[in-house]
Amino acid sequence: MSTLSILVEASSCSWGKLACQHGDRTIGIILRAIVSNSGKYKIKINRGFQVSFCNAHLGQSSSNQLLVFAYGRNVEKKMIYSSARSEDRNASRIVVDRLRQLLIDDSNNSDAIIGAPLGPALAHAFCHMKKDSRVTTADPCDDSLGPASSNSEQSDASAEKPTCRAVVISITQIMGSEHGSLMNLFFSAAKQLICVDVVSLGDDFTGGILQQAADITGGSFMHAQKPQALLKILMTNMLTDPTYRSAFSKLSHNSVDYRASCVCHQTLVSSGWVCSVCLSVLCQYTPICKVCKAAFTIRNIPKKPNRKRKS
Amino acid sequence: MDDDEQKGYTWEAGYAEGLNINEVLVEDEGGSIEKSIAKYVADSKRKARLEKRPEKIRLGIMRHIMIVIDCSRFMTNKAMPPSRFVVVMKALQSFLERFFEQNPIAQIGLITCKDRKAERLTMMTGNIRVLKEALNSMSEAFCGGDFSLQNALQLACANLKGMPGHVSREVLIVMAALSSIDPGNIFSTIETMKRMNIRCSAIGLSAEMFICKEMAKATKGEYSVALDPDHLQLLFSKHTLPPSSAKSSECNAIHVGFPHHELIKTRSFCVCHPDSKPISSRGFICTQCGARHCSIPAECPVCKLTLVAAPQLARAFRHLQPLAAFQQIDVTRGSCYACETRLTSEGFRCEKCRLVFCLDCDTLLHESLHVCPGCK
Repeated sequence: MSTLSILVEASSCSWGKLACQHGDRTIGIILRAIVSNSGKYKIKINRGFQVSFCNAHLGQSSSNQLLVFAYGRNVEKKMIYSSARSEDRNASRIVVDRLRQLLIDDSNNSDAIIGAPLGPALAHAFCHMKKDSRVTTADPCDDSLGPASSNSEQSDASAEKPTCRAVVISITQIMGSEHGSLMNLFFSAAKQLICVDVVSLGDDFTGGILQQAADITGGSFMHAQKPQALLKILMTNMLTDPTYRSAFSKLSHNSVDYRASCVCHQTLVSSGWVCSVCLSVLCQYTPICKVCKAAFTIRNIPKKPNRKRKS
Repeated sequence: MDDDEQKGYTWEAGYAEGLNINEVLVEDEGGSIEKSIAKYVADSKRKARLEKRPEKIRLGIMRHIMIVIDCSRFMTNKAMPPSRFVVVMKALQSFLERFFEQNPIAQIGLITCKDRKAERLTMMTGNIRVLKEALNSMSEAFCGGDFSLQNALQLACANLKGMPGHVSREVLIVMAALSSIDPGNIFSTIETMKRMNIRCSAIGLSAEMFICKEMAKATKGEYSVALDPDHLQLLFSKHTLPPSSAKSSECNAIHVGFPHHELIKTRSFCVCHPDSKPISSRGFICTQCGARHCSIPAECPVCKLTLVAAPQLARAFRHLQPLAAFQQIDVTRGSCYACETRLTSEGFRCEKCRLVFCLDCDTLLHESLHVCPGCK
C-alpha cells in the first residue's frame, strides 16, 4: 500500500504565464498529465492517449491512496481530492472541476501577486499521510545530510511498511520568506520516510529550495521544459515507490546547491560569517550584525578563522 | 488542632513545591504506581506542548554541552530494569538524535565518572557518529566504584573553559549515585561554575539530592529525578531546547562554509572514514581546504572550518519564531481539519485561523512540522 499526495500550484498568474509561453493548450495538457480528462472537459486531441499519473497510481494496487492538494494564495480548502472519502468517486472529474474553480476564483481576485505559499499545504499533506500510514517511527538516520552509514538492516524493515510520498508540481519559484519553515517540513518528512519529488514547470530550472528538498528527502527534482514533458517525467521518474528506486539508475546526479544567500546583498556565498545570535549569514565580516544589531567582540578575529579550539 | 493534623507538619511543606508524591503518585488497587507515572509523563508532555514558548528573547543557539555519565557501581543497580546503565544508554542515544536535529551547529562532549575519577570519553564534537560509537564502546562491566561530582564538574569546566564567549556553555550530569566523594569543597566548585557562566543541569536516577538542587539553582540549570524509563526520556527531551542566554553574553561572527553535495569523480579518501572507502560516490568538499566529507554538519578536521548546509541553518530559525500553542477545547462534532478524523472529546484550536485539529495532528505540528496548515 502506498499513499501519494500531489500538490499543484493554483495561482492563476503563474498558470496564465505558462499558457502565454507555450500556447493555449498548455492548461489542458497539464491537467491531462495529472488526471485523465473525462466528461465535459474532454479535449479532442490525441484521443487514444488516456493514461494519466493519478490513474496510473490508483491502478497499481487497490490499496493505494491518492490525495490531491492545491496550494495558492487564496485557497480556502487546500485538499481538493482524497480517495479515502466516500463521496469522491470520480477522481478525474472532481480534481479537474475543483482546480478549474480555484483558478477562476483566483483570477477574479484583484491582487496580482505571483507565487504561492507551499508550507501550509505541505503540512496538511504530511498530517494526512501520517494518519493513513500510522507509521511515524523515527528514522535511525540522523539529521545530517548525505547517506546514512547503516542502511542495510533498515531497508529490510521498511519493505513491508506502507509508504508515503509527495509530488510537488510547482510553476513559480518559492519565496525566500518561507525558507525556514519549509526546511523544517522537509527535514521532518525525511525523518518520517516521506519522499518528496518535485517537478518544476516554469523558467526556474535550478529549483533552489525545492531541489534541496528533493535531495534531503531522497526524492528527485526534474525540470519540465515544455508542458508536454510533464507526463513523461511523472510516469518514468515518480510513479515507482521510493523503495524500488534504488534498482534503477538515478537520472539527476547534478550537484545540489546548499549555499546560503547573505542578508546584505542577497547573493549566494560558499563561505561566510554567521551571527551567533540570530544565525543570519553575512558575506563579509562586519563588526555589527545587520539583522539583530548585535555588536561582535573583535578580540580574536584576525588570522584565526577557527575559534573552535579543541582543548 | 484539627487544622494542624490535616496540613501535617510545617517542615513537610518544603517538599510540596516540587513533585508532591502523595498527589501525583497514587497507588492503584494492586499497590502499583506504574499507571500514575505513565499518567504523569503524559500530562507533562501535554503541558509542555500547550505552554506558550517565549518569543523575541535571546537564545543560546550555539550550544556546547559536556554530558557527564555516572559510571559508578550504582549504575548497575536493577532499579530500572534491565539496569540503570542500559536504560540511560538507550535514552542518551535517542537524545543525541533529537538534539542534533534541533541544534544543527551545537557540539557535545562526553565524560565518564567512575572510581571517583572523571575521564573524558570524547572531545567536543558536532559529529553524531563519533558520539554514538563512543557510547556503544561502553559496557556495564566498565562501571564500578564511587561517583565524584566535584571531579566531574572540574573536568567539564576545564573542557568548556577554552570555548569562545558567544557559545552557551552547559553541563548535563546523569547521576545514579546517592553520594559524591569529593577531594575538596564542592561549593567553591559550584561558585566557579557560576562565575564562568556554565549552566549545570542534572538528571537524577534514584532520589533527589540537596547538592544537585543547589548546583542547578546557582547556575540556572534544571534538576529533576527520573521516575521510570519513559520519564527519563521526557527529561532528556527537555534539554533539546536551547536555553535563553544572558544579554551580557558575548556575540560573535563564526566563519562557516556551505559546500555543494556533488558527485566526486576523482578517487579520494574522505576524512570521516579513514579506514575504509567513502560510503557514497557523492560527497561534500570543504570550501576552504578541499577535504572530502561524507556528511555535514561537521567541523573540517583539516582546517577547522564549520561546514553546514543552508537548510540546516534555516531550521534553527524556528526556535526564534516558534509555532504558537493551540488552545484546547471541548468538541462534540466535526472533524480534524488536517486529517479528517472525527473528533470525539477534545480538539485543539489554532488561535490565528480558528481551525480545530485532533490530538495526533497537534502533536505532530508542534513537535516536528511547526507550520499550521490553516494559516496563511
